[in-house]
Amino acid sequence: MIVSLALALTVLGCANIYLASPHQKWRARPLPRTPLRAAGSLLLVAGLAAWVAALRPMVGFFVALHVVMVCLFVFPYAAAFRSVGRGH
Amino acid sequence: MIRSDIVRLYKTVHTWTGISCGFALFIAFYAGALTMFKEPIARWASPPAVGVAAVPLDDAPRLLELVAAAHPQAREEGIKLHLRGHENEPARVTWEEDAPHEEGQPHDHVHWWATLKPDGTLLAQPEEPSELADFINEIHMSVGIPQAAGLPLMGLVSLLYGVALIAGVIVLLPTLVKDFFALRVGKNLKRMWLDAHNVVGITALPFHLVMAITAIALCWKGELWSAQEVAIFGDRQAILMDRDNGPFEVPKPTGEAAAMMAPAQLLRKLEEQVPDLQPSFLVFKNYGDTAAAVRVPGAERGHVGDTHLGGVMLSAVTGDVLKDGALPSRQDPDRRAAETLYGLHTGQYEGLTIKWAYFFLGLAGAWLFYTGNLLWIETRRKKARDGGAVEQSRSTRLLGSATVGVCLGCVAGLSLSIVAAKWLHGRVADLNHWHAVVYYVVFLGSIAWAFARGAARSAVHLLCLSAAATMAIPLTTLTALLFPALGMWAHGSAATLGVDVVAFMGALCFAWMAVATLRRTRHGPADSVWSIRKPGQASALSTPVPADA
Repeated sequence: MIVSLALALTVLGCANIYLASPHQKWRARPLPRTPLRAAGSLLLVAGLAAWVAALRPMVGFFVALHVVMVCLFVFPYAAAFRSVGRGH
Repeated sequence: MIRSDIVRLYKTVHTWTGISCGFALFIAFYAGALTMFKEPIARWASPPAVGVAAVPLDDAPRLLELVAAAHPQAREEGIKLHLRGHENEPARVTWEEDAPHEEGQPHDHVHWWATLKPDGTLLAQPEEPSELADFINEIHMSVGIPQAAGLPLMGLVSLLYGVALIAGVIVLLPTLVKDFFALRVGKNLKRMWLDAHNVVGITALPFHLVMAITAIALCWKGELWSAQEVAIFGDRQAILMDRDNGPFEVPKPTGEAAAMMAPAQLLRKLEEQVPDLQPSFLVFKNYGDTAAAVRVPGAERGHVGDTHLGGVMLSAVTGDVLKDGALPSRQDPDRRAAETLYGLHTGQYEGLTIKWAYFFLGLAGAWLFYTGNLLWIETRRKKARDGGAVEQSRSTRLLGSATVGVCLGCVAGLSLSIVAAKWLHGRVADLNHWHAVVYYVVFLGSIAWAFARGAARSAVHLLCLSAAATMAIPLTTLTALLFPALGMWAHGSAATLGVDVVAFMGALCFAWMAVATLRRTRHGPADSVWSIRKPGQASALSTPVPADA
């Protein structure tokens, strides 16, 4: 249960950070960046805390780090594939 | 602000270290991604134990007694008691016995398994387990070159990979923040491949740095060990080695018989004494003796490390912990640091989340080296002016062919090697040898084909081959289900079905890439190694096509 919560918080945190980027391609009209960055950072901190609570500090930290890395490259690629699919 | 001449210097370093190691790193990362699911692959490839009923854990004492009585060498070397009932565990207990090395045999020991017949007597048989997952791991470690030469070579490759990473970050520093997350797909192919390369490289940088450092240590462990002996420890290294091996040394047998504690009871005692240890299996040494011991490897919650070496040793008589020096929480700091680094390389911690994360990061790593080569080719592309003819340089044509042949040859070779586990089982004498034969024939054949037909044509052919070979994995399982007379098998566990599902998804990805590449070769810019048209020849398509190579 807590692992699912940690995963959800981390993925959502990364999604917020991506949406706050000037290069995001998920939305045609970008959302305000500062609140997104703040929300993303808070979600990532909460996600890390949940991972640590579930798996103890060392394992929790490394799992959080690797999930973040996967999200950060998957999101731009997903957006690029979506735009190619739409013929942009 | 970094001076532009410094950036140029690092760009040159990054380019040439990357190009020189890219092929080996692609293979290492692609095969490495597959090793994350080494156990499910081994389970998928293992035939069901025909006619062997699973022995319940409560009946294990009788089975262990019979094996210890009938096989003295197993009693001495260790009888492995499996706890999970996975498909790659042929029976409740297995062990290895020495055998004279024979020509053509991979090793000088024989694997045995044993179970109880319905009448309660022992049924023991020698049987070689599938080594498919180990073969994929070998390809990962030494890219298919015999380990004596392959490991030192991969150590050098890993060192250059580390240099390439640092140089790449320095090159990217001036635009790092501005271009973070940028992936601009469009007509500027150089920009597109640069973004595709940078996004993967920068976002997964910590993963790559850990992989580079740990791979150097793992590949050069012998050389580093010798250097350490000369420079630091001298004669004391042997003493330290003995201390390191201490937790694994079993007590000497007394020769006096004693009643053994039942495995189920041992597991309960283990839970009481070491609640954070998740046992993988039990290994009984000197079963029946008063000094009999049980080694219990496994993962300890909250620690990163080798789950096969870590663990405790219990008394098989009382269930008390005899030695816990190999338990991560009790290891010396230097040993713990080494085990943590090893665990970070192999992803031996947590569970499924980290396995999937490493799997995707491994595939992304392979993609990083592939796009690096595509970028090199695109950067050196000679563009035609006013529809005139232009010949691409020999180096770009050769690198294009080599990229396609090596990378896609590895993909198709590994997929067909996996498929061979079911199709060749019972039809060849040494299946484990045939895994290697299938891989090398496909891999080397793909390289030859790529150079013979050129990058553009062979890319389509080899992507189709990769898609077909990978699709053959789930199709083989389906065939086994529909035609049992063929002698193949279709396991129904989630792990083995997962192998089929992932292969199916992978095959669809390769098929999509084949279609996109075919369109690129026919309708993309003609002044490129990725086109089959001559410059100036009109495309059949009237609308612009996204360029994929």
